[in-house]
Amino acid sequence: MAKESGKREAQQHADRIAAFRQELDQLARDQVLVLAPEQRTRVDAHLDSVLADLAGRFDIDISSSQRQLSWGMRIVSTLGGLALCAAVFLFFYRIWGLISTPSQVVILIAAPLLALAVTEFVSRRERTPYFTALLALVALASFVLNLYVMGQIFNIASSPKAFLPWGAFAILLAYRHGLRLLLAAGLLALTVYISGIALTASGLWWEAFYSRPELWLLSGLIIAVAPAPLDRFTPQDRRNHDFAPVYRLVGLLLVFVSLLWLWNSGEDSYLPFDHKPIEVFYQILAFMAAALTIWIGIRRTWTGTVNLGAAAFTIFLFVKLEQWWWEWMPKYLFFLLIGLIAIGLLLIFRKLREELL
Amino acid sequence: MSWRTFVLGAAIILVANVFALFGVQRNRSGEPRQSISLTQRELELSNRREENSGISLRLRFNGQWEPDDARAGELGFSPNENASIRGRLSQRPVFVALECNGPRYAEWLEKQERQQPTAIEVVKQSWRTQFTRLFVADVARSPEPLLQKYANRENYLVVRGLATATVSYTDPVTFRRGPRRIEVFVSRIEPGSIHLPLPLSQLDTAHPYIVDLSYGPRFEPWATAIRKGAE
Repeated sequence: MAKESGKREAQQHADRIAAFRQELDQLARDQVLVLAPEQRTRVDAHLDSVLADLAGRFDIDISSSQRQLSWGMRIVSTLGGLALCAAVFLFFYRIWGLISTPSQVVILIAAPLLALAVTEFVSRRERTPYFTALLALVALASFVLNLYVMGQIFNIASSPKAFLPWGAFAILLAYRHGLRLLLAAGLLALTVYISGIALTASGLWWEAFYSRPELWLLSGLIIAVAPAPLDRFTPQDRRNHDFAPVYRLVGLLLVFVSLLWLWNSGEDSYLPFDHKPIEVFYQILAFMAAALTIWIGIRRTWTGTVNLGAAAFTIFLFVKLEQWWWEWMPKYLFFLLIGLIAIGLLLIFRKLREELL
Repeated sequence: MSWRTFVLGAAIILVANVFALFGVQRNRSGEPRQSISLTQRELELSNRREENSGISLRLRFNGQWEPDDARAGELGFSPNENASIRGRLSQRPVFVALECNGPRYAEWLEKQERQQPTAIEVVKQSWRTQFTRLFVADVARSPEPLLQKYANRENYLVVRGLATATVSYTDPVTFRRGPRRIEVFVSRIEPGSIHLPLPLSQLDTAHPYIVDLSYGPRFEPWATAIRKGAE
């Protein structure tokens, strides 16, 4: 019987069985390998029993239609969670003026605690993650509402401090229930917290956190490389292999967005130079970062990282070409050149792909 | 069955709330640091809506302030630094001394009447009966100098705020193009909105009102009483 310890391994095993069956059918059609009927029956029975065992222990997709339905359920779960979050916010705002301050405080603290308990309870009863994901989103929204409205009730001066518990709570829920969306939300909340605190320390208003892209650049780099040290300190059986791509996606998106920002607005840099050389520096750095991302992605076979690096490289290239040519070149010629460059990039990527095979 | 994650999650929620409530308790315990009575001219009431039953008061103030380069520099605004005058980066947290119905309002009223002699009577009346009388008297990076100077004076209030810088090429005296200079004004008071809890929120908004405000050591306000003002 199968010895998989996690859902990811179980899904990979089920995918291998499906591929094996397809290949076996193809070999039989090509008359390369034709199993005797009793052999085929024994193989099928064994594979069916393995699949039944996997499906009994893990929430995995055995057929392609099941896989499509799972994606649909994931989308419905996220949208449903967001709708419930909106309902929680709007309901509280509808009634809070009609109740006393102590009642408001009790409701605000009890709501995330209750949602957290229900999430934990449901996750222990349900094998599928959809209801858990929906309820975890509601728990996070209730906690955001809790601290935000507490600030309004007691007229507390605005500060980035709340982003620290929000981020920690989201990451805790993400790790407990294997929820990638909450991990991304938690990482972004911590980025806002660190940027806000850094700005406050330098005498600026914390809400300008998005106006200092070098702070995101640094946060993004730390987030993108975080999976390696995290894995080192996490026991093998407790690692979540779905999370490393989320760290890389969030981290690299922060890096690329901040580079694109600094590319256009050198004035927002901490570097003590005129804005023009700073912009040129970040333009060169942006291309190097995108190329390096593709290279690392190929070396480590991280498909998502390669795609993100390629998308960033293409966007950077088009932005640069637009800055060089748009003003003086006839528009038809500009788009023709863009099209030709896209074809050139496709040829390069195809060559790279062939070398990887 | 291990409930360790639940306990950890609950601890995050409770610790964050304890911190918030401890701060509130510290701000409101003992004698208020500052108290002031303001009318509907300075504290505009938000309308109760179907989707939001909460009631709050928005602090209305005149943020004009004309520091010289040295005072602007004390707040961290450098006349030559490009980065300090862009977007949100032009905002710096400061402490603001607000003056209510004092010489600055009288001066502003006189200036309005001098600059707009042909204004119709309704407009002139609104300057005297509807416009805010809360004016910026002084700004500093720390509260101590302002508290020393203003805290015990009637109708003065020291609060947190945001100073914003813009670049101007207009000479303030001749109104013609002049050399590049930094203009600094107070763009926001923090918190700018004051929540009214029950039973204070059951106020008849059809009539003028007076709100007694208190500020604690964290410069966070709360309404202590609300009563009918003169028509």
